[in-house]
Amino acid sequence: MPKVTIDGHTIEVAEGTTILEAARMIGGEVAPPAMCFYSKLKTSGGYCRTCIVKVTKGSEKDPRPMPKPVASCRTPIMDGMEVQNKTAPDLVDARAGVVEFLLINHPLDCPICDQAGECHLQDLSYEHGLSKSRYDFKRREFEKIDIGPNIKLHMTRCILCYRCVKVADQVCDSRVHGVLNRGDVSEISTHIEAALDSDFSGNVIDVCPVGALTDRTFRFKSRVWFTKPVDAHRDCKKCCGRSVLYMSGEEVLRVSVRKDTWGEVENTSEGKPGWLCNECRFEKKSKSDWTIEGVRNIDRHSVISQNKYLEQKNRKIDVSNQKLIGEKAHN
Amino acid sequence: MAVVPIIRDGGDEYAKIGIGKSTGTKLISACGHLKKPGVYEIELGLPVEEFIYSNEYCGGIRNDKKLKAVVAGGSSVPILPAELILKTANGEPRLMSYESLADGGFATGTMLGSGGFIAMDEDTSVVKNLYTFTRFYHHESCGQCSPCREGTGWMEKLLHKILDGHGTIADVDLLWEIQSKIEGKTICPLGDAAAWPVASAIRHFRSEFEEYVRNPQNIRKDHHYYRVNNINPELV
Ligand code: SF4
Ligand code: SF4
Ligand code: SF4
Ligand code: FES
Repeated sequence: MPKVTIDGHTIEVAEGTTILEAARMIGGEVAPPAMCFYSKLKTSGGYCRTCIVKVTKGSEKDPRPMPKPVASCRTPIMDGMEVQNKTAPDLVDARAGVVEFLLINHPLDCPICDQAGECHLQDLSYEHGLSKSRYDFKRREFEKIDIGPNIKLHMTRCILCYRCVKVADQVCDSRVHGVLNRGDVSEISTHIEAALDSDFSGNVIDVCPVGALTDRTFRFKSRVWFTKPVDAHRDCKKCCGRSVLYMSGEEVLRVSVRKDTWGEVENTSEGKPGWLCNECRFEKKSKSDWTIEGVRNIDRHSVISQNKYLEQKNRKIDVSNQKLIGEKAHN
Repeated sequence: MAVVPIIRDGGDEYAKIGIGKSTGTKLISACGHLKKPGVYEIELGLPVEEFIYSNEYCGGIRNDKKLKAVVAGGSSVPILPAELILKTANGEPRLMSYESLADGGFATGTMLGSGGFIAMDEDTSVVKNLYTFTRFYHHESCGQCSPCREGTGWMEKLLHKILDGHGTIADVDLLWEIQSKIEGKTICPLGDAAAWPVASAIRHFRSEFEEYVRNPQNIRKDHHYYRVNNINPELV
């Protein structure tokens, strides 16, 4: 099996694995950020350019470095390839440039954005962004659009990652949703604003890395970090019925798919992506509709993982160090 | 046309024309401030000076003005000032061939590219010309990848700001930054094509950008230009 070395970690992977997938197998900081690639959606990736890496050695056979940074989500590894991600300062600088481009026309209205706290763009700008914008022109704006009764499209926040287009194409039965226009006036749209009329349309909300597609039934109900995420399931004929409920007391504020470390939908036990149908997502909003499995541990990035539920868990384990825990709870 | 001699004399004979790896002939579409703009079929290796000034080709610069700059291979390739298009940095005559035009890399050279040859006389504003190019690439960007989708529009806005008399030296530096962040980071070469003209204009004509920043009143005479580009001719 071909070997690849990323940031000094060598790993053997199957033929045809991309650099990004190999880096994710190594895990942690070695994995480049990916705003548009989504392993469960065919032909995704290649658009946002945040996952660029530097290939310092092409392969054992042809050791020449690649002249330009490459999109790791679209570049298959070659045997003996050597790749730099975090360890190349010029690459980190180039990525910061991409992040700046994503931000110049972004409204950054995080305080009123339902995605805040679980937004990949927030994470990305926190890690790579400048503290001040160098863009002093008017930002691009679009009208907000309701895509059917349950989905809100706030196009101004869209980073044109095309993930929702792929969902509409591959997960929903018919595609009435796509990209209109071109260049920096491109916009996501359903033709003639027709409702995305499919039982699986709600999944566009979960693949959207930003707050461009949000759940209208959850809109402005709560900041996500004040909710308590629990794993739950129910018998559903249309979908896998495995979800995360975002609770406030006894109330179910939002239902979403279960996401893995990389923010992608988890596979079910049959190995298929666990997409949710609209009935489970938008209509089953009472605790009695679901069998609750327990508190969900949301890892990596999300501020939700910093919240009190995690600490309560820690408290149980860490009874010996009460003083420290007590201090932490006050912060 | 190339097909006729290739059929008549065979490919080998045809390949004897030219110089180095640039064999055969090439159609050059010459435009700009030339006495005889048009499409010329040249043998590769023809000196650039001969192409511009001899009567067989472009016949020199219109109204016998001085040559200021040339974009030798289509709007995306680096612009070169007259001294660098006529002679390489080593002082050798520049030839119409892939190798000779690329001599010196992007620091002092350019590319033969598509053969879209644009000559500019001494009265031409490199900054205005660049604005036109940049506006074109902004318009052409398909919008799939972030650096080109967002960067091309940003560069256009900055150039408009500089032409509008509100630019700062920091804006010129920012333009340089933006093009460097686009180049080589996009899906297709349109990103590079948008970045190179900006980079080369600043590399070779930075003082002109600074003149626009320092003395905007001096350069606001061309009212027609300002009208079509939606710039207020009166400095506000
Ligand atoms: S999409 Fe993300 S970065 Fe943009 S406003 Fe919402 S939370 Fe903030
Ligand atoms: S709406 Fe969201 S998922 Fe769709 S392209 Fe925009 S950012 Fe991506
Ligand atoms: S570089 Fe190419 S693919 Fe990317 S936005 Fe520009 S035209 Fe489209
Ligand atoms: S994740 Fe690779 S280009 Fe977007």
